[in-house]
Amino acid sequence: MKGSTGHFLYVDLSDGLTNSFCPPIDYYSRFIGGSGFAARLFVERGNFEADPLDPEALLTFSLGPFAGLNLSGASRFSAAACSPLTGHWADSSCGGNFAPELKFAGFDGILVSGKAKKPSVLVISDHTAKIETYPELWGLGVEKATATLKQKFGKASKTLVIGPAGENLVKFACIMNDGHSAFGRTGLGAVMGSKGLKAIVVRAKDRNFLAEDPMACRKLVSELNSRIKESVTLSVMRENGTAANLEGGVHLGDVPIRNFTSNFWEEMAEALTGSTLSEKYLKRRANCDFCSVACKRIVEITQGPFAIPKGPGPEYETIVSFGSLIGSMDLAATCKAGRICNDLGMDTISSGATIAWALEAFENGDIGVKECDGIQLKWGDINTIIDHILPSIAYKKGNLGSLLSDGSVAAAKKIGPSSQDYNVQAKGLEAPMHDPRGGGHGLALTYAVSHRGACHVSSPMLFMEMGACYYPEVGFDYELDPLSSENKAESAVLAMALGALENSACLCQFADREISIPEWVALFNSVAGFNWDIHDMIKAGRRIFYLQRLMNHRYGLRAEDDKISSRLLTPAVDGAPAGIVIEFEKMRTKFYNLMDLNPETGIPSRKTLVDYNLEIEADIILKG
Amino acid sequence: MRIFVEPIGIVRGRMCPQVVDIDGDCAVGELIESLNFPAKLNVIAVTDGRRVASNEKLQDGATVKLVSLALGG
Repeated sequence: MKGSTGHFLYVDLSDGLTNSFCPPIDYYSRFIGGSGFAARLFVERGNFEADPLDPEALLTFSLGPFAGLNLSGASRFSAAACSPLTGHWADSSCGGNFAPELKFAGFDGILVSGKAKKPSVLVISDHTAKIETYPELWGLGVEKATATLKQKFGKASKTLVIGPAGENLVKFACIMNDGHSAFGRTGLGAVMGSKGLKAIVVRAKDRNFLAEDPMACRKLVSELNSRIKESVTLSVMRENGTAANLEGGVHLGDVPIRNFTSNFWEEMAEALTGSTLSEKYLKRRANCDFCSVACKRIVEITQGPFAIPKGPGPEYETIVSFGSLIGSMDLAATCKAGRICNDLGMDTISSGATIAWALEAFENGDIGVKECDGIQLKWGDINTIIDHILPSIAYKKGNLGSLLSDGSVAAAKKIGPSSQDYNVQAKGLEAPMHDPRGGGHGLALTYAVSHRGACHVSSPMLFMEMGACYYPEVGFDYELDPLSSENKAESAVLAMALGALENSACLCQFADREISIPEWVALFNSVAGFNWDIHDMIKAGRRIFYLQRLMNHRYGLRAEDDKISSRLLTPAVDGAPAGIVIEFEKMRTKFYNLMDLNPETGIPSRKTLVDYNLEIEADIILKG
Repeated sequence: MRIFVEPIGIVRGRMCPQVVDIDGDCAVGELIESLNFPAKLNVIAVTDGRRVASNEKLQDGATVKLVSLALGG
């Protein structure tokens, strides 16, 4: 199998053992890599009964076939497990520099089980791995732990590190790659923390990538890299980061404000947008390995209450999570809040969203100063968030830290039903910073049916609704109106398959907009030798979508769980989408019909499972 | 007819705020087309936080804000 090494690393931290194994060869063409491959490996080796934070829980890191390929957008990878935040199957995607290095070191991924007796680090180099106890790292922030590891293992080594939040089992703890890129969503940092695994370090000597058809691959990659470099939209992103069009998003009603209670705040738009970040604080741009887009920001704030030294800057989601969502338009504060979250090892989306929930709960009187350790919570009070709330969450300090460290859904359950009305989430995952009422009604549907919950990168639906996609080869030539349900179910069928492909091939959603469907197929064929046509490729994406639904069925999710918070279905009170109703049930019913999903169980019929060659997996998953 | 065109967000990178003089009737869509943005930017018009239909006729002295749909972070 070209494009992949054919080897996964298995690590049992309880026994201190590591070994490599070769997954069945058919997994590669059926489940590709990344998200899909991790799911299939869990079906083979995982335990659906294990609590996400039990030693027996399995944490998987999985590369795609293109990791290590000199292609912009190809250096992402997946982490997957039963999520401690949501209680069901979930994965998260991370860019940066770890994925190519792991491939060059000889592995397509890592499975981690057990619990180390002492805080440990997994050290991987050139086809070998060892577990080293490293208790002095425990308790350190991500920045210092990463620097310490680089000092010990060399500057060129690549790291995955958890912060105090992961150690303390905060349910939205993240895993950081070299202190800048993140497996942000679904709390996988807590899974790593529960295993006593502070970090993974990888270093490879050789940097060889073997493609099935090297000449065809080289030609295609060269064409794609040129196109990505010259792309109008990606050059904008290079210039001003992922928040480049935040200001435009405000005028469209896509950017959430004060826990999704408003869709328009004109003064905030320019204050937080990407060009303002560039003008005020940008020191330089940074990129994932091999990527010419360079959407990452390196910022410095030299004075004022939010001064921070030169280092990683916020992307769109962080700016909004600690900006408009909590009622602030202080851009410097979002930079500092993002930096603190990175160091503590917490997902900025769930952190901001959980705090936004708390601010509204305080305003409504559902929580008071007693639950908040004597402090008053106020919209826009970013100082209190930075100085008090974020550390309280990461260290589970006081009543407020204890209340919020399991996420907004668990917090609302503790406080009572009235506070659940303003939980903005799907399947227990806090919604990202795109409001379907303004960003596009189809997004409401894909948030609801995604296996991981409210996630904007589980599919390219946002881009499809905004007119940034054109896929005539697979029937997508719709000019979608974001503020309508028309053709959204049909589009979501394609979006979920493409999302599964993206997250399994581990391609960046920004860069891969420049790749046509036939080029995707050519990429898979020239790199991995799948010998696919377009139909085969879409079928693989759909297969992965169905597999992950089967797994979540085993975790107890049913059709009734394919829903989103009522707040996102309540017509907006202002901005572009004011008064417009999302026809959610209509879209969902049609999606279920088109995907052959049972309206009660939420899973496909036996016939569809056979059509997608999933009968073996279905039998294993459903037997329990 | 005189229209004040104000680019928003990434559209600002493609043009400066400007005054456009037009002879006779003009719809919003025609105005956008005449400004020759790259198709991938997918530019639309908004006023007061509301999207303006492309067939809506412009009024003399109107301010039109142009927004791109093309990027989500």
